[in-house]
Amino acid sequence: MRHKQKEYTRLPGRGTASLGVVSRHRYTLWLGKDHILAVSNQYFSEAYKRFYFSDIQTITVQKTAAGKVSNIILGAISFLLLVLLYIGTTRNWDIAANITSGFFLGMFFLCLLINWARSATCICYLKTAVQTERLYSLHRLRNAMKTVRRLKEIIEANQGVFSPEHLEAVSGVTDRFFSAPANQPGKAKPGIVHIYKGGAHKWLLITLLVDFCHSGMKFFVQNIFMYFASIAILIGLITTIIVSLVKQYRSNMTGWIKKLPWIIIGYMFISYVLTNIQGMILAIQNPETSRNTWTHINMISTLDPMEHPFMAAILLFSMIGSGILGLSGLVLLNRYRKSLKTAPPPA
Amino acid sequence: MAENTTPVLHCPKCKVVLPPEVFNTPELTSCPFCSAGMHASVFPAFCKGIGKGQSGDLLLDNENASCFYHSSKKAATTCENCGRFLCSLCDVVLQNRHLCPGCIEKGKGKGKLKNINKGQFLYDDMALALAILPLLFWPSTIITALITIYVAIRYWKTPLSVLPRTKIRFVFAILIASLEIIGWSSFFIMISR
Repeated sequence: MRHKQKEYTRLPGRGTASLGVVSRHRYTLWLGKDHILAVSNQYFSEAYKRFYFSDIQTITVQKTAAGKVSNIILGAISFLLLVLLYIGTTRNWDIAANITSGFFLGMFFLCLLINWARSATCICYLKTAVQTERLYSLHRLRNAMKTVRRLKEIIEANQGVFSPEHLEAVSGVTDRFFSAPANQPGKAKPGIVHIYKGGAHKWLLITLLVDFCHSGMKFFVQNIFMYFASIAILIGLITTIIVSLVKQYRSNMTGWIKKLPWIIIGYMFISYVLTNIQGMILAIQNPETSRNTWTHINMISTLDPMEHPFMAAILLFSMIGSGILGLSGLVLLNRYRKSLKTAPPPA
Repeated sequence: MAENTTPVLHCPKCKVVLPPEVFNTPELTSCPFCSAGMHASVFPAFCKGIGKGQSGDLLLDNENASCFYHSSKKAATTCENCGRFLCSLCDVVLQNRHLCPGCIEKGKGKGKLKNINKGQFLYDDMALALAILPLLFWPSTIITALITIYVAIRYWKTPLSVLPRTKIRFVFAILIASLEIIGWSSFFIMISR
């Protein structure tokens, strides 16, 4: 009987990456006789990249915070829904509202559990003499480390073990490069015009925390001054976002702290849409007050969130969103400033 | 010139060159600069750099054979597929065989050299999508069912992928398309009666 031997064995891990709005690639990693095959699928085609064991120089795995951030967001949403469910059951809201909250709470909590069980996230790179390729399929730390350990054994069987002699040869070179100014963080790189310490970002994050406090206070204080305070906070947020974006443009700032103003814009857009929906619902429910803008504002500013589930949900969303973004942003900013301080002086 | 081949490994996060102390640690370690958790597996090829290519020796007398592609270069070997004389520049070693650029190009076109195949169109996936997706706009299945069966039969023998893959998608595509055709046929018979 003819026995066909398997040419490739599947390695753990599966990843996706969106390139553009519509295009989506799925990635897997396969082990061949003398090489690793990275396969990317897109619609009805698959593309291959081969990395021969004898050519592989390094495989690096870097732990990322994406999994932790997802856990925090999912946890916060679950908490929000739990609070809504609690308010709904104690205040005898409509049964449909409670069922909806319960259903979404279950969904988000399940996502949180799955994400937590899949371990931390990471980025994995494979380097040869001519290329450095990201292995998108290895984006969970547990899978990545398992695969790297397996590959290490196979590659070492092919190339030998990286010995102290190799290390000595590299040491000299690394020391030289270690002190090279182009390799230091915080040092100006081509295309970078100025060094920016993140002053505008600090004010943006403080404004977000003020918004967090304001949203919390709205549960207890309902008057026209709170409404004007929310407008002032909105103006403050828009101003600080614009200044932050201008300041960070072509600066030495990198990483998540640079992406933060854009994330805050996304969060503000969602808040804006939700608030508008709420305004429309109230205008439909109270047509007599909606004819006059002043009376409509007066009516909105004196509403008790405990009596209006949608309003309570929006306020909780604002509290959680502003709180998480503000606090995590301050942590990131602090880290960024520390990295500027710890960067060695130019040679 | 030396800098181009210098072996250095950068931290994936802060891009600073990593010291050798963080190489091949048993567990996760941290970058000395950004403190990011990382693991770096380094292999002896790290110190090798890029191998120097050969340009082929010049043919100085008429006693030696010349390369098929370069008449001024001395032949160093023959192509194991077509037997043409090749200089060191034209000699390509692939899957432990010495091949000429012409044979490689031919083999690539015919899909005989699996190891240089850069990608594959998945006709079975396309056939299955052609059978299922038009169901969302069901009147179009009158055309797509026929196209599905044509695609499945036309590309049945085409190599699907270098990875392990069965023809089950083709089978399902044909089955679904056949059901669609049977449905349409019944509909037309009922109308005609």
